Amino acid sequence: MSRTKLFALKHPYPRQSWNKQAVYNLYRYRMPQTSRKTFYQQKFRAKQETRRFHGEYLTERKWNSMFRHTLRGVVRMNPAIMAKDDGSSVVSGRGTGIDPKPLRMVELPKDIERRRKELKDANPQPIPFMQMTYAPLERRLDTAVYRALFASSVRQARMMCLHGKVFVNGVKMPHAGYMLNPGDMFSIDPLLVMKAIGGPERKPFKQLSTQAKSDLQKAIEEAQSKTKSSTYLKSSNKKVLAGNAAAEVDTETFTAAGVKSESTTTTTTETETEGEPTTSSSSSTDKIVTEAGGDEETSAGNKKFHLPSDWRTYLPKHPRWKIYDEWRPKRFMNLFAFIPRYLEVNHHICHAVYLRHPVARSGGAEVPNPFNDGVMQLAFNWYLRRR
Amino acid sequence: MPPRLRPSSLPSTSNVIPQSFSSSPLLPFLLPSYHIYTQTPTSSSRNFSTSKPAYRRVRFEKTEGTRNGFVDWMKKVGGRLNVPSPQDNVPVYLSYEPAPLPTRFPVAKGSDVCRKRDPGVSRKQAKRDAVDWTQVTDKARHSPFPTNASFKVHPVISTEFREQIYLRMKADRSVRRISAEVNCELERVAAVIRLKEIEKRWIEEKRPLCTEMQTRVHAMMPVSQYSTFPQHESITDLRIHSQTNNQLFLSVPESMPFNRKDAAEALGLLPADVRMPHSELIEVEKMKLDGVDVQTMVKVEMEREQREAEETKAKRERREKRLGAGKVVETERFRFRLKPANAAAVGHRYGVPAEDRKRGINKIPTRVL
Repeated sequence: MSRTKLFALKHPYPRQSWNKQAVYNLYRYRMPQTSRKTFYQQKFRAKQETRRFHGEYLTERKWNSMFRHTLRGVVRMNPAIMAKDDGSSVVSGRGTGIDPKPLRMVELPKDIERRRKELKDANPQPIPFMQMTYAPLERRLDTAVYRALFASSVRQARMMCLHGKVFVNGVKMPHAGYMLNPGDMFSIDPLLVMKAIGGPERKPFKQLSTQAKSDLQKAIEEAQSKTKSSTYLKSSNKKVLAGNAAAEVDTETFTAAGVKSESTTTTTTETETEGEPTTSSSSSTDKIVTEAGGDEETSAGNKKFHLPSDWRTYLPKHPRWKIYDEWRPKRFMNLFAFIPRYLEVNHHICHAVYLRHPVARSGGAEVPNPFNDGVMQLAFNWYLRRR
Repeated sequence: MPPRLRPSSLPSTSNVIPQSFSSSPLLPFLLPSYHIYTQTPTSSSRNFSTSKPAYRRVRFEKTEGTRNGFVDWMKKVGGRLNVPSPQDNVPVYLSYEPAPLPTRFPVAKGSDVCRKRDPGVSRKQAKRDAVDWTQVTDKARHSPFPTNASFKVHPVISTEFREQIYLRMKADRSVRRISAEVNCELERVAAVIRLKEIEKRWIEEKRPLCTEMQTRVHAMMPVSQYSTFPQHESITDLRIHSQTNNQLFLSVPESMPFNRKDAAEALGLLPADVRMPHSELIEVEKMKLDGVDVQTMVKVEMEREQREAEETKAKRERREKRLGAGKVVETERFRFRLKPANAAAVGHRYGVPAEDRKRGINKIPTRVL
């Protein structure tokens, strides 16, 4: 059974999440010690530590079936050199290749220094193949969603998949374990993404003054009571105002501002019974303000509303529209804000393309993880053992 | 071994002795013998255990240094690490050293060890001066996990860059050519165009775009901006074939040349000159070496492009012809391609039953078209 406490502080494990406790655990994480341990112990510990980070929700059996001992790598070719040389110089001489700049018998120390530098430049860094041990997991749909910065943890991404929010090539894909093929495009509803990787939700009415709040409430009531002449409520919005739980909560918050809730409930029932599609959907703010103010004359006596210019966005249905302009990143997002090279992401539309399988190249691998090459090699050896 | 009596089933002081007796000094003598040696009455069923019973124990014990340490860290370090809008596109990644100052006395930027510090310079300041901060920031900028030097962040292409790629596509340039021009991988260029087309469609449909999120996400990571000759990434990455990982012993005549082509043949592969993406660049370089003038080079390249375009077009037509041979019936789950069948053939099967209900067969689709 998987561990229920994911971000425990007492026995911290590294996890793929932007959770604050996960960040704290990652911050103080130290690599497992290898001294005074048998090779078996070292391998087991490395496997434990790395599996806690990579797909901890997968059973060992499942991961074992995904593991491959062949690791993908890539070499950068230089067309200029290839044009000059057909490769025969590598095997010429006595079979080990000709050195284009052989060492002289007597060399000045300065020359040796320069030579050393040249050699260092010519010999690129090694390819960290071992970092590719968990590369098969990167093909999974949930991991790719997390890597594309569409979710704040792999588990959240997995939940999105299972709830049918993720589409692959325009087709709903409710399997988190779907293995992406090169060229697959996956997408999520932008509103969901903004909520998932965004900061705390905006509290509607928070910035409004008491006066504005009460005015807003009166405007909404006005709109609800007058079914025919209300200019701004479409039938869909009306339904939301009448039956939505969130809308009712909002009216309750209004009552705190000094308006009775009974009147609201009666008006909502009225709208439900008389619910007919309103004629005009076009609505400008001043129009409503003047209109509503005109009706208010009978009851309150020639009183104008003090509504903010963007008051429509404060309606229960509408705060979502404000998210597009007022989006803020989730806490600690900047620590994980990177997109691996095998993905091409467009956050404007929350679509991403899986270009190819991740590869290792000289000096760097494309699988993000906090473990060094030694630990990954031990983990790789652990899984290799059973092949 | 005789069956043991469970302590809870034994009579205890609470049910044997009346309340008035409980403070009597004669209590030990009033009790049955086995009670003399037991503990004074406890509510525990496990009389020999010193730890609290399960129902008394706190579910998650509060210990010093775990939760409190976390709260302290959030106050001291957490705020420093959380930078929602970094300045000048310099990302802030996790750094394990709260104060990255050397513990030993510093070595100066040159090779000389500086043991003496200038008068008027504090020890801390001297240490701070000795750190190569450009190197430190550069390292921090590209490695989100300081313990893993092998994972480096590669910049993503900016929104303007994407727009430029899309404009080049609109100017009827091939993906291959755009890729060579802007130094992006072939797949990336194709993907950018696909995504950009959806974006344009959304704009037409007046669907809102998450522009704010896009800008803020890009502000948090390294971004490669568009320039006249952008250098984004290597476009000639050759995939290492698994066949080349094994050693191969081959006797070769000393007098004969042995080049890449021969090596590929020995391994049973195509030579790297062909397998490499953008292999046409080799031809261009060869022409450069031969001293061919630019006009001829452009002409040759144009011819090659045209030839390739024709080839791909013919290939696509052939494919469409093959796929559209019969009637196509689209259902929710399947795309039936109906072909005229010869039912009279002996042993012919009309169809294969779906196996996805069988045990051990994976129901997760392997590809989505």
